Amino acid sequence: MARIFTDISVTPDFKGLPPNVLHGLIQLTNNAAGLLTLVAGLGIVVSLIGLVIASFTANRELSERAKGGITVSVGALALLYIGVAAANYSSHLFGH
Amino acid sequence: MGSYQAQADQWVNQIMIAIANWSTAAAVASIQWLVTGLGNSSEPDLSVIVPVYDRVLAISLLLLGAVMALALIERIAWGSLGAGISLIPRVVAATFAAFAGLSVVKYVAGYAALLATTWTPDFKSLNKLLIHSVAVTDAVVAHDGAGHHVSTFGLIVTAISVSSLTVMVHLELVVRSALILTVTAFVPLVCVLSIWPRAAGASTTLCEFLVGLMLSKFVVATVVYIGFRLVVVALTASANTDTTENWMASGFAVLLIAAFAPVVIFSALRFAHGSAGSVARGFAGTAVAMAPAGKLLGGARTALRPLTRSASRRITSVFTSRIARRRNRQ
Repeated sequence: MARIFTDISVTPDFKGLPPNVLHGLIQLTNNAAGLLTLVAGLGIVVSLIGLVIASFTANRELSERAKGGITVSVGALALLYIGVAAANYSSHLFGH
Repeated sequence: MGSYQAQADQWVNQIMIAIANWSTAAAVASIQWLVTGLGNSSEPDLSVIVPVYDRVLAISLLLLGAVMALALIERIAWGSLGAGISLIPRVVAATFAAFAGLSVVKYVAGYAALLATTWTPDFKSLNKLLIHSVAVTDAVVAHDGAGHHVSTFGLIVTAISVSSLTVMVHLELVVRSALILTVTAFVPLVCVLSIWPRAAGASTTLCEFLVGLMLSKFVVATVVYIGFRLVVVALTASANTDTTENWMASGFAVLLIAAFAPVVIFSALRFAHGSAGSVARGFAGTAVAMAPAGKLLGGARTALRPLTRSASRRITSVFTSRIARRRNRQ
């Protein structure tokens, strides 16, 4: 089984890609990450507003939901960074 | 008078022996070709697509961040199928699958090819049995002896059905090999897309399709073996009974189904994945079906050309005469 798995070696061919495709794909990923940051920022702002309104109106449910929103928004940004790091690590791990 | 009849009988016997021998040779050669085709010769050479796979892998790794971001955006925005903390193990698993995809496909394809050769010794023994029985019958017919004969009509039908089946199966195997090579090239992309739970169905579909394609060879080999065995056992039976007639009819039906309507088989065997098998068969069937249809249409067009020409001349003359009359009236 090990022989079959080592029979074909696969390495990502970044140099073989045309430069415009490479730059386009990098830009696409950056744009998606930017959009995520924007949405997460928006989520944090909306959650903070909700938290303020909840404290004024003493609405406990709204307060909990706002806290959850902040956690999800901040957690999403953190997860993106951790995910990219995990992808880079596993690419190097499985690539060799 | 008696000598003429004896000579005529001898000629008829010789013709029958020749037809029986020719049919047997055709059937045996077809089965041998089929057995060769069911071996490793029709397996896809996956090392050919390594450069393509590397390029698609690079594209997939570049897109990985975007897919992760989209999954997280969905989680923040409406949170139905977006990824949460499970994103990290999904990323590691998808990256591993993208890197190991080609090797896994090659591994599975090797065992699928091995499975397809299950019936090879049995096909050879059936061929020997058929040749032996026909040789015995030839000897009996040549000496005008009475006894059980292998049916010449049965041999002719067997030869025709097995030959057409072999051509169809070979076409299908070529298409299967091409499909495996094509689909495997997209494995890294599908693996990376499946990080997003909303797109995870794509990887399931791809796996099912590939496994179905690989197992379709074994399914076809098994079906052909069942049909051929029924026919040969019925042909070589020592006595013609209702049972042997049933075997013969069932055997021809199985061979014809395997050749011309395999969708029936693939729709019944879900592990062989209906779409994978029928796609491979659909391509092959269309290729075969289109050739005579095109020729027929071309022939019909050529044959009808004199009629259509005269009709068009008549219609043109009628229209021109009417237009001329109207002009004259004006």
